[in-house]
Amino acid sequence: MRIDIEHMDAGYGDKKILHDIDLHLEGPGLTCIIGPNGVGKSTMIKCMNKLLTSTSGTVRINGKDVAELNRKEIADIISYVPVQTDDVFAMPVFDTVLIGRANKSKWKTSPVDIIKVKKALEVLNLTDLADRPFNELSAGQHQTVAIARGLVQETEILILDEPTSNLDIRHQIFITSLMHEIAIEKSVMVIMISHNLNIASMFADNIILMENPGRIRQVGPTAEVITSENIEEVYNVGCEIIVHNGRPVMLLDNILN
Amino acid sequence: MTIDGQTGDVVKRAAKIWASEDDVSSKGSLETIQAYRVSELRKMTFVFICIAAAIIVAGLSITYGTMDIGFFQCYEVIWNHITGNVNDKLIDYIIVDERLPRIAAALVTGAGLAIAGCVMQSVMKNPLADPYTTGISSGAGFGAALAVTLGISIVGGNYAIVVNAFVFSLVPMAMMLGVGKLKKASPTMMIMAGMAIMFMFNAFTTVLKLQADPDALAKLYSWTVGTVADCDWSEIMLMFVVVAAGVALTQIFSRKLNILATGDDSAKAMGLDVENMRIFLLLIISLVVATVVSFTGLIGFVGLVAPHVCRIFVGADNRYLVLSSAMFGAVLLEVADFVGRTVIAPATLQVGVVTAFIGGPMFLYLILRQKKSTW
Repeated sequence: MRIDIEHMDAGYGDKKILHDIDLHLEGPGLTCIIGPNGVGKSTMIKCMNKLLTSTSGTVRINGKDVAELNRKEIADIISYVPVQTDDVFAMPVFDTVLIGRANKSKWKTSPVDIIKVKKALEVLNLTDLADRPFNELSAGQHQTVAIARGLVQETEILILDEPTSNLDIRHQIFITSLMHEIAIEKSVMVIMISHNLNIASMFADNIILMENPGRIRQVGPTAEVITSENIEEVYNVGCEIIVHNGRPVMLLDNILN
Repeated sequence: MTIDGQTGDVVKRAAKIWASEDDVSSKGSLETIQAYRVSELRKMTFVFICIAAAIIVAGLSITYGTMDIGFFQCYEVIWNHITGNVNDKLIDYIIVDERLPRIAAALVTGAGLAIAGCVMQSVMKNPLADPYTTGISSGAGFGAALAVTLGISIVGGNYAIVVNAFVFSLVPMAMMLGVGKLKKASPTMMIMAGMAIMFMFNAFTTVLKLQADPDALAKLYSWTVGTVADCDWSEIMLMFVVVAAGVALTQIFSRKLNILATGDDSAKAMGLDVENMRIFLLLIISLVVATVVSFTGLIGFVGLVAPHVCRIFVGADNRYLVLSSAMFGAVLLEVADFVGRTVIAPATLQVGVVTAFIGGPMFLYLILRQKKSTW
């Protein structure tokens, strides 16, 4: 499994968000994308599965140009968990997750589909909510159900847009570390956007640090990317980095001018 | 807690569960599969109850009339007519040519309007979407007004109103779909475009009414209220073919409707061509509604209410909702027509009025007793 982005520009209408992006990701593992608000993190992951078409450059999945792949072909390789999921006419949680099996299942829901959903709910501690309507859940539970739907698609690449934004710290740690473990156990490339740098630092195999205006500043192992110099320049926040359990941990200071 | 501490163990165990083989034959798995199958059966039962209700209400409705014909005798006469074994020509005529067309028209129209409401609400992700809030009725109304008041029609003769209503009811939807396609518009934008077109057509219709003579106004008014009494068998067969094809196609694409309901980005990422699927489904149901409305006039409420009532019983899963909405819509309109014929007999109340009278309070009751969850 690999994703190759070369000289990619992207944006919305006339507004250019991403500038000359070059990124090469290969093999299983957890990659966290970090960077300030509005820097183009979501825009970049949307270009990976053609939710957004780049204005120039190329995006390749497993060597194939996404521009030449149709939606179904991309969906067979990449599953995507958006930052927000619609729930106007909500189904029970179990059925909501089951929709994720659409690509794998035929007309009738197979026993394997049902068991996959059961396992995903169990893994994410959602079993007790299986019969609850999706739109009655808390924001955090809502988000976890969306992650379960991403998991049951069983693709080799899983992309998550801020999957922990509504979660408390325990659940942020749980989800991020689970993504790391699943990446190893199931040999999946997991790419997620995260705003909690310390948690990302604890579990990510690689970090992509983005900076204004819409560029990648650095890609690499956490120890190389999470440095006080990087954080201060990209976020304009003072910080000190200490090492805990072999990983960099940020101690934050005040906002810099 | 550290990575290798308590949290780490929980996570490692969870990841191992996810990576484990899918054992579909363990006791726990079999129980889950069984529970899911039971929930499927429960939803299908509601669909069958609606089908049974449609047949029973139709039977009851056929018995009603000046000549006393028994409930089971009605079915016998229909069966004999189908098999070509007619015993009593008079009773056969009364049932097959006098009473049945109206009932068949009500069933087909109800199903067509309900399926349209169901698809529109799911596609637009809006509980208020139905053939009327999206401008189809105003287009049809304008087409009819053009034929009645100014005598401008696409074809002459008896079908002047019908053809005009059909063609003009497609205009708002065509414009809505155009906005959707050209601007890659969101469902909300499309609905708002539909409403803008509705107001424009309503204004045109009002101008035509102001110029119209009293006879033309009366004729237009009776068409506007909506009735299933005036359809003959050839019209009903045409409506039936279009509605049945619409229901079948929508049912085939019901899983895609479920995916569409997860949101545009999510649906695209699951492999769905969102814009084209939305346009395709709206095109199907606009043909269904245009056909039905052009023969029956404007019958409101069924398209809005039937899917909502069905959601209470089968949930929002379109695999069950599509068919049950069609069946429930058929029953609802059939009951409304039966009530309209009997409640102030020998006078008749138009079915369009009765749907609002029955549907309004029923809908209100269901909304108030229902928890927030369905919507």
